[in-house]
Amino acid sequence: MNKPALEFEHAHSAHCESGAFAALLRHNGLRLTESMVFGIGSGLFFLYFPLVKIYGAPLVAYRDVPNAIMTRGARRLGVRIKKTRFRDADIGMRALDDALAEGVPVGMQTGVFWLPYFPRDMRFQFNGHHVIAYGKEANEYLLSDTVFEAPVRCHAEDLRRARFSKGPLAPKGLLYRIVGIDREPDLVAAIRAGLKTTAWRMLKIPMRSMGVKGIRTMAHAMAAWPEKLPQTTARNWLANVIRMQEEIGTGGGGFRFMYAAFLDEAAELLGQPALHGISEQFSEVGDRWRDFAVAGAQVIQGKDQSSAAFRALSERILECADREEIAFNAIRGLLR
Amino acid sequence: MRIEEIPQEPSILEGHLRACYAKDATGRYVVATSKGWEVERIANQLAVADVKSRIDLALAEVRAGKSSALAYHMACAHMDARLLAAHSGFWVWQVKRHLTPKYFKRLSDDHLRRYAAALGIDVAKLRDEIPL
Repeated sequence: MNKPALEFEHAHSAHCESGAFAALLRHNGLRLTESMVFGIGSGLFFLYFPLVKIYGAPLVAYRDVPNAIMTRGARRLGVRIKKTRFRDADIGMRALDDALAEGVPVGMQTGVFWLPYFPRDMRFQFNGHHVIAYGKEANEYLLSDTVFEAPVRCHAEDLRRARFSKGPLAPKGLLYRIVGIDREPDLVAAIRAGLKTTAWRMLKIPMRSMGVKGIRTMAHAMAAWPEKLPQTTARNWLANVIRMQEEIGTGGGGFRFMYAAFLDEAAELLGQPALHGISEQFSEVGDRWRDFAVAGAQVIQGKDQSSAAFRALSERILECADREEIAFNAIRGLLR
Repeated sequence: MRIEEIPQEPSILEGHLRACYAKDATGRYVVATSKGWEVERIANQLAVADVKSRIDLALAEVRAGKSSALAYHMACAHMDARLLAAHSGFWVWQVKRHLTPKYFKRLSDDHLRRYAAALGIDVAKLRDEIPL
């Protein structure tokens, strides 16, 4: 009954959305690295929304909101994407089967908690995870989940639950496929647009909770956590920051290394060797973020949870903010 | 980060690998893999313990007769009343009522099925199964 699975090249990636989008582009004949897609889609960002709580801790993100990379990337690369959301789960599952029967791989937005192939301790309620379906055998879907090293399988019942998970960022069964593609896009213009948006958003966005200002806001808030919060809460909030930086598919250092990789590629394509130097700056920022995570883990383990310890962590983050400000100013200078 | 600096430590990945961006010997960025990192494990286990403590709390209240079994299964699914309401289609105030034994007992089979589907478990499990 089911057609044999179509050929689909799985590529292990750091981040689900940029990985999935790059994989779909490749399937349609446009070969770009994940980091290039991430950079063109202006994936790098920083958000700190203390009023929105995820598992009781303030919302922290080292990147832009889900689906932003794909939307911007598609626009800048001249790719047309067809997105469909569903009210009814039966219809949504049938649409998936129809696409696979046509031999079209489709991207999906899912809730991680419901995907049994994830390691147990990583299954949290988060609805912004992107996966590609490329086949079905009996009651199992063949998935290319790019944050895994190899393709995985998922039972139809579980996938249905994941696609129609509810709550914040509810995916509503989102399916997307590429319906139009330019195989030789103007990469120079796309890269410049990606750089410009990211630099503007990191430096100039007039909001205290976003960009470099957001990093500083979080750092200052963190310094006061031990005084304002019960000890366990302060620890949990700190752990949450580290998890968003390292656990949730960032390629290390809260996406900063992936961005450095993008800048290296951009330097070649734009003929701007100065971008190599800026890439180096991001490598260093990534290392500083990793140092913060190491120091943070020591605090969590209870060696020293005094206000002084949190202030020291705050200092580390402020240094990252300063370095990112310098690097993005350099990018803005180059784009003039 | 250089490839040889990527941590390869026991962690939460259960044998899977994580893709990392790091520099190879020539200084070019490549996608390399990590078996895990102690730091991410420490942060993750705190979050896991936090969920566990909510489950234990719910379980204690169920056993004490203060909450219904729904409270325990809700905690197991990492949900609060609001999220369970979104998943089940009930109003938040209805969910809160059903978290008490008195109202939970009165639930019709149909409503129990709705909760079971929202939580991803069997109706029988929802009704009867509370770990000892």
